[in-house]
Parts: sequence; structure tokens; C-alpha cells
Amino acid sequence: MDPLDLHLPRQVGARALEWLDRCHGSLALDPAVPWYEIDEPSLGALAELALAAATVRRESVGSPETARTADRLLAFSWRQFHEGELLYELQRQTPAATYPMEIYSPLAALGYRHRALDRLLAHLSATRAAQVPEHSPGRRLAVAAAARRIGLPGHHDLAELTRRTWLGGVPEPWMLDGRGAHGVTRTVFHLTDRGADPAGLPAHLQRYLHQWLPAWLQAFTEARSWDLLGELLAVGACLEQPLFHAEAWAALAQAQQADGMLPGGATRPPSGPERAFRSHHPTITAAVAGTLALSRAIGSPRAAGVAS
Amino acid sequence: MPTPHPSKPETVETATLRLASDVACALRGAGDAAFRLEQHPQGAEAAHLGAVRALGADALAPFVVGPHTLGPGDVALLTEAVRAVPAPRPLDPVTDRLWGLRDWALCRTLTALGVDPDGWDGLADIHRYGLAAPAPAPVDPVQRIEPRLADEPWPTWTAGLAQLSSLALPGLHCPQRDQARRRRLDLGRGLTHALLRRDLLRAARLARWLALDSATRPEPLLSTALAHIEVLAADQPRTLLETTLARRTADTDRYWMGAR
Repeated sequence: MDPLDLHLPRQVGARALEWLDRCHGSLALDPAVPWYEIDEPSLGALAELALAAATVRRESVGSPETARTADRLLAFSWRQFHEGELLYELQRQTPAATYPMEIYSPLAALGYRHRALDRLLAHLSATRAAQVPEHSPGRRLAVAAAARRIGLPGHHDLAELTRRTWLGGVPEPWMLDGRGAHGVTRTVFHLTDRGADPAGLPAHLQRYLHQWLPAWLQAFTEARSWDLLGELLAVGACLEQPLFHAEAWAALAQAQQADGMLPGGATRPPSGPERAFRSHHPTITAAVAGTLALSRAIGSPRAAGVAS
Repeated sequence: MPTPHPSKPETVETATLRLASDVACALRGAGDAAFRLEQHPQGAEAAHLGAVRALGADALAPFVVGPHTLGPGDVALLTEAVRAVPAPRPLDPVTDRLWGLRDWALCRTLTALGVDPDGWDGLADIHRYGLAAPAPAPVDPVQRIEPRLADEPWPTWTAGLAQLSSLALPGLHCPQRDQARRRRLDLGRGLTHALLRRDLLRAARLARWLALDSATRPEPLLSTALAHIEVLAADQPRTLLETTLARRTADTDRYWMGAR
């Protein structure tokens, strides 16, 4: 990527993080609500915030202020999870569920550990039930990635699971829709641990994405689907030979509001319980995408600059 | 094969759809009647002449890649169409370029069929570009009206190429064809992008460029793409003409490869 173009991912990512820093208080869980009544969107938004902050912290490519912000957001999330006690309680009461472990994993990888939760997860991951969850292949890849981060033994046939995802089926590229695109982003994020291990994605899928990701980025740029565009830009940054798209970054930068918030796209998010989470999600995505693009551009001399 | 015509005078748009459908039928070998440009029920009506002009070199496809023989009546009608719908006086570089290149394709196709279009009224800057010169000209005139960069980004490059699909006939050789042969992946991206935008006509036009030279530079997704476009565009005659031409082009390409 042209060094001159680097300022856009840097700027978009930094501004998104600033916005998250300013607004993270709104994601605080209501202390009056007992653990068994916490709704999924509230938990999900906190989990996404923790994951984004963990990615920013892990890559360490921003300014010292960026790192401090990420640390602040991580500490906030950890406090909201009662230093892991809340996740432990959720996992203990729903042993077959995987979401407490998935939420815990990026924090655990950075040293935020809860000893009783670790013991519980070690036990649960060794059960026969853990080998046969009624999950889609994409969900199973997410669980496998979480287990890897925590350091739990994996017993997943990753190649077989990957083959059964949308991306793994190497479909006709024009059959991509929003759901398929979301699936692609998850498969890539889980297999590469959000860009930490680009080689985790099989070579033939790297080639497939290098072929067709530019066409998808172009279409989503024109459709002004900022949330998905941010996710797909992050996908490009997770490849062994990172793929950038200057025009998409320019569009994303233009769509970003002065305060750093990134709207979802041309259509308003639906009202209802998911609304709070959804309105945060594009900005969280922008923080991650900006961080990964910057990190890979700096770290990878083979970065492929794709004009458009 | 001519299809029944409405009693009211046609618009150029509907005439173009009808002619596109007839050309596609002739290319598929449907019906046993010989394809005739002149035999259309509308004869030399303005709408029909406009349709012939709109399809450009593609109106001659049944004589080039189909089994039909160009007759004097067809040539007379084509001459009349070019005169009735002349290329506009120089307007802007983009429009001039499109007319110049399309008429270049028309003239080259006529020349290949043994017709000399030199002196026809209404052709785009035919003398200025030296299109009347017998092929091969010392410097191919198409080079002079193709000042665009070879490394243009794929979105604009493929969008421009789609507008020039009548240059993608098997017998024509031009810089666009050389670029299309080199930039297969970019063509595939353009086609994918067009389908994602539900622009079936643009997708079909890009498929023609992929079909050209497909014997030496095959694109594995081409036949899947054509099947997909044809099913979705079942009611779009112009799109179906492009896919029919793409299929005939790929067949012709394979035939010539076998003959070599």
C-alpha cells in the first residue's frame, strides 16, 4: 500500500477508537440486572468492544495514546464482566453454551484470567458433548479459535469444518450476499485469529479471496454498506499477502462522522433490542479494520496495493 | 426468424429488442428460414433502421458466426440505416470514441464479408480514421482512437469494455481484444461486480470478451456465468443476444483452435 494511503486506515481506526472511548460508558451493564437476566445484545456489545480493544492492543501499531485507550477499554470490559466472575457464572449455569468462553478468549489471551473459569473450561472442553455441538461449521470455527486463544486442547477437524463454510465451498463469486459476506469474514477471522496468524487460512482460499475480494469491496463501497465494508477490509488485511483497497478506505473515511462514529450504511438500523448493539458495531469494525490494515501494511513488505 | 410485429409504429427501443431476438434466433439456428436484415416486416421503417444501427456489427453476426449469407438487399438496408442514423458530429471525446470504435467494428465486419463501406454516408469519421483503407492498414486506425491507458483500474476498464461488446466478434482484432486476453481476472471481477449490481446486460457483454480467445485463455467460470445470466435475463432480448453471441464466439474460438 502506498505510504500516503496509510493515513486513511490510521485515521479511521484512531477516530473510531476515540469514539468508543468516549461512548463506552453506554455499554455498561445495569448493575440492578442479575446475571441471568442480562440480555444478549448488551453482552454482545461488550464482547465486541473487548475484542476490538484486544486487537488494537495486540497489534500495537497506533500511538501511545491509542494503546492507553485500548487498555482503558479492556479494563472497562473486564470490570463489567466482574473480573471474569460474571463469565464464570454464565458458563457454570449453562455448561453446554460456548458464548462465555468465546467472550473470555481475547481477554484471556492478553492475561485477563479467571482461575475457576479456566478450570471449568478445561473440564468442559474435554467432554464428549464438546465434540458434537449442534453448531453450524462457522460457529464451530469460532469455538475452535476461542479454545486456541485460551490454550485449551482442540479436537476439531478444521479442514473439514472450513470446507463446509460458504467460503470453503469456493462458490460462484457473484452469489455473495450479506449473509454470505458475513460468513466469509467469520471464517477468515477465526482461522487467522483476526490476522495474528495469516497462514491459518488455507492457500486455495487465500487465492480465491485475492481473486474476488476486490469485486466485493467495490460492490459494497457502491452500496455504502459501511459495516460489511469495514469487515471485508479487515478480511483483506488478514491475508498472507494483505490486500488493500484505497477507494474503499477513502469511502469509509468519508462516511465516518466527525466524532468518529461510523454509521451502518444507507439504511437505518432497525429499532428494537438489537439497536444499541448495531449502532456500535460499524464503529467497532472500523477500529479493528483500521488497526489490522495499518499493522499489516507496516509489517508486511509484500502487501499488495490494489488500486481498486 | 421474424416475429409477429405490432400494428402501431414501433419505437426504436422495441424494434431493437425484436431485432436482437431475431439475430439470437438466427445464431441459434432456430427456424429454417434464411436470416435477412431486409426481410423484416417493417422494411425500411425508421424504427427498424434505428435498431440495425443500435446493434451495429452485431446485426451482421448471423452472417459472420452463423450459417447465413449476406445478400445485396441486406447491404442496401444497412447503407440506408447508416445514412438514416448517422454518427453525430464530434461531440465529446467519450461519445466520439464509442461511435468511432463501433463503426470501426461495423466496417471491418463488412470488409470481411466482402463489402466495401468506403463512402457510406453517416459512418463515424470514417476517412479521418482511415477506416476505408484495406486491412491490414500500416497503422491500425483503431490505435489512433484508443488513447486509454492499458493499466486502467478494472472497474472503469470493464465498464468501458462492456460498451464495446460489438468489437468482441471473433474476426476482429483490436487493442481491446489484446487487453481482454491479458486481463482475464479483471474481466471476471467486472462480470462478478455487474452481477452483484444486477446489471445483467453488462455482465453478458463482459462474458463475450471472456468468450473471445477462451480456447487459449479459458475462464472456468464462463459457462456457469452464462447459464446464470440466461436464467435471470429470460425476458431481456438484448442480454440474451449477448449471451448467445458469447456462446457462438466460444464455439468459433474452439473451432479455429482445432483447425490450427
